[in-house]
Amino acid sequence: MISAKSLRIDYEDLTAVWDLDLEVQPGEIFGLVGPNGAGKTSTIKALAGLLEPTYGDIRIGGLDMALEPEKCWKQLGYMPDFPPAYKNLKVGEYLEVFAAAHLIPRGRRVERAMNWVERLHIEAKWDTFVRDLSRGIRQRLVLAKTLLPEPKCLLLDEPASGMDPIARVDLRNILKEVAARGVAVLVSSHILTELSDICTAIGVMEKGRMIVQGSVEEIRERIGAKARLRLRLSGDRQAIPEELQRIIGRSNVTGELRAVAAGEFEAAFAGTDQDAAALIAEIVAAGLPLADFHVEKENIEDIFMRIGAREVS
Amino acid sequence: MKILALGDNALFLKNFRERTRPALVISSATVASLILVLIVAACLMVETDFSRPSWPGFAFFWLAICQGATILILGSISVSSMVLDERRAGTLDFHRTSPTPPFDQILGLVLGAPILEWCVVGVTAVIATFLALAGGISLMMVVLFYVSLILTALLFHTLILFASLAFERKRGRTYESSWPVLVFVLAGLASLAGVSGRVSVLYHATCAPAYVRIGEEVFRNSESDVAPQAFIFFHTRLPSIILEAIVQLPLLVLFWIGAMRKMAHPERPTLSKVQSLILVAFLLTLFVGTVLPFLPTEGPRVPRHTIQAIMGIFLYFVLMLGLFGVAPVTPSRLFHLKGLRRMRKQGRTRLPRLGDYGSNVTWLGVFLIFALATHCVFLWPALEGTMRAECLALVGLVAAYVAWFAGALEVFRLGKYHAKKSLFTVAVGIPWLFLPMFGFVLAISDLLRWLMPYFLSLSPIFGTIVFAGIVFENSTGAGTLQLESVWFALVVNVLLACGMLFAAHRARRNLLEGE
Repeated sequence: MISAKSLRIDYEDLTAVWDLDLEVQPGEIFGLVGPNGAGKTSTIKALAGLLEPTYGDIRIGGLDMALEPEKCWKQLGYMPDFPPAYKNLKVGEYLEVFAAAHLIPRGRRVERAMNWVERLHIEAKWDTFVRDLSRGIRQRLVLAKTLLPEPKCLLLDEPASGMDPIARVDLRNILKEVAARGVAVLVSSHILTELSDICTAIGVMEKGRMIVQGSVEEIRERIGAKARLRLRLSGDRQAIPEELQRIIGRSNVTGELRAVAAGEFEAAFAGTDQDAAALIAEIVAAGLPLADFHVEKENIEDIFMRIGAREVS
Repeated sequence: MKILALGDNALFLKNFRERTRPALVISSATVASLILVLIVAACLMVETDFSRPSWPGFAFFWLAICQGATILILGSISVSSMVLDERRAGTLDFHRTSPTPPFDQILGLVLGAPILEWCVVGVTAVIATFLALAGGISLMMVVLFYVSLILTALLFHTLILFASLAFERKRGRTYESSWPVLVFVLAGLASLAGVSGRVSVLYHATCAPAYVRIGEEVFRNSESDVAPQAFIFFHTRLPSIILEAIVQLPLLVLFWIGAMRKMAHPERPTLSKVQSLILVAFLLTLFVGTVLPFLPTEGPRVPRHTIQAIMGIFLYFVLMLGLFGVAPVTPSRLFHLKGLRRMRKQGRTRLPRLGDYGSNVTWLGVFLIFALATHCVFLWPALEGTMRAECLALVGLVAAYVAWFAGALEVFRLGKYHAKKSLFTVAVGIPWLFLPMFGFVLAISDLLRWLMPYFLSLSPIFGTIVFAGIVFENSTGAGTLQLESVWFALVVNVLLACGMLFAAHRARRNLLEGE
């Protein structure tokens, strides 16, 4: 578990983080989002034990970072936003060095390193010097280094920056997989869509404060986020059929229906899956040629934009 | 803590891999072999002119000098560049967040970064030993030489590592990598001063005595005989290898602890206030141990010029210890505020007196007690008559210099102009340098010469030496400047110190109330 209580981080003439509370449970993927300068990197650095907070309690796996840093680091994997690497080492040597740093016994280092290299699809680069790697491959290498000691808590600062689409898919799959094994994952990213698929909870930071945090569903409810109902009728009709207008108007979980394209209509939707199923049944029973029906929920990016916009206003 | 399990030490492994690539090893071996051949050839040529020393002994001596240059100069540069590269790249943070203890991390850097230089010295040491034995130099002498070289190399490498970790990294500064080398150059110059002047502490802070020992052995029966070395420390005659250990081992431990502290807590001061005071006490002990043999309590009276020289060196030594010692233990505004906020959060009413976040006042008090005690216990008995009061006044003057600088530094660091370092430099530069210059200009005129010391009153750099000179000149009756200027300087600086310390107290109070 990763937790921070009343965390405050000061720089010379700036308070980067104000009394922040945060908790990431085992198996949870917590997405930390916020604009540049919101305090995400400072928070992650403090959680990693690299930045001494002004005050506040940081616990990693239940251990106090201020009192038992070495035990905390044993459980922690940290990947900074600009992953540094030893340019004059080969990929295999680089991983072996950090396996030793994480006290992995000598006989198991290569095997463990090879395992992660294969899972991140960089095994062909085993004997290549780090200086000859592209940025994306280097990012994967540093991710392999971070996962190598199989930590119980993961702190990833912008892990997807510089990665190609395939590597991003790999990253998402690996994060889901490690979370499924009970690892607490805290990940920050500017690419909000990266997080929307995988995060079980998010925290939105702005000017050093956590504006809102919780599961995506909780936040949706808290900020009054409404889903949108989108449906398409076969044929090239521009006007909204009266029958459809009546069905939607009668429902108490939908807003006003409007046409968005030929045969495509949308309305705000605040109902449950059962409400959606009942609507489908009613439309089909009315003899309308329903070709597509789906409920679009706001993703993390939409939520962030709404919260950000509200804060700014 | 696994000193011998270097294969499990990540930073050692990293450096070992990087620095023992075949191309690097082959080129180093080639250069080392060429130098070895050159030395042997040169010594064979020289032998035709002398019956002693034999060429193998002579070759050993020159090979030992090359080994020293390799491990001390090239090794230090390797340590410095490795640490700076790690800091620039940010890879050091990966090691900081690993469960490897800081001791092992420092061990990996100190032994790993200069691994190639150690290999070169190790391999050539075997050849050098054969040469030494063939040249009639005893095995014990050779062993003692290498013990001394290894100890000094570890001290230098740890010092450079400490300096490289401690300096504040600023983006875009190109000189950052050169200043640890500057530390080395200064240490080298200090050791040279020690060799030429046989100043025991400086001399034994390096492996220079080991070179002198093997030099004496090599040239023992030649025409250029060297007198055997004899060093007295606290009235006790000690072999120089013991003195080297006495001087170097505590320094090695202190720098090692400092490096570990910087590795574990990069934001904290390089040494804690307690560690800094231990360093001060150790350096004062070395000073006293070195000068005490010049101040015998029995036998003929100590010549006045000896006392004058020792007193002058003591005053400057205390001044430098104070000025350089107080800066790292004076908290920055941010650091002090962190301490205050943490203190509030924990429900405490004051910061620990010798804690990192607290004021430098307690450190200053203990430092001044150390300096005064050193003077009263060891130097006072050698003084007579009014000289005692006047020398005490000089000690008080130096104490006041250190105190007002400490207060001023704290006022500046805790005040609202803390980021404008140039303001502080100018504010200190005026009384330290500009006013004395004005005084020196006045001294050109015979009529106004008497005014000169008053303009030097606030300058520790010039004031210390000029006022010490006035006191000693007046004690012989040859003084041309009045003794009153010394008392004037003392009063002015004590008042200034009180003012600055009060201002620092107000600055701390303002911060406390502002929180």
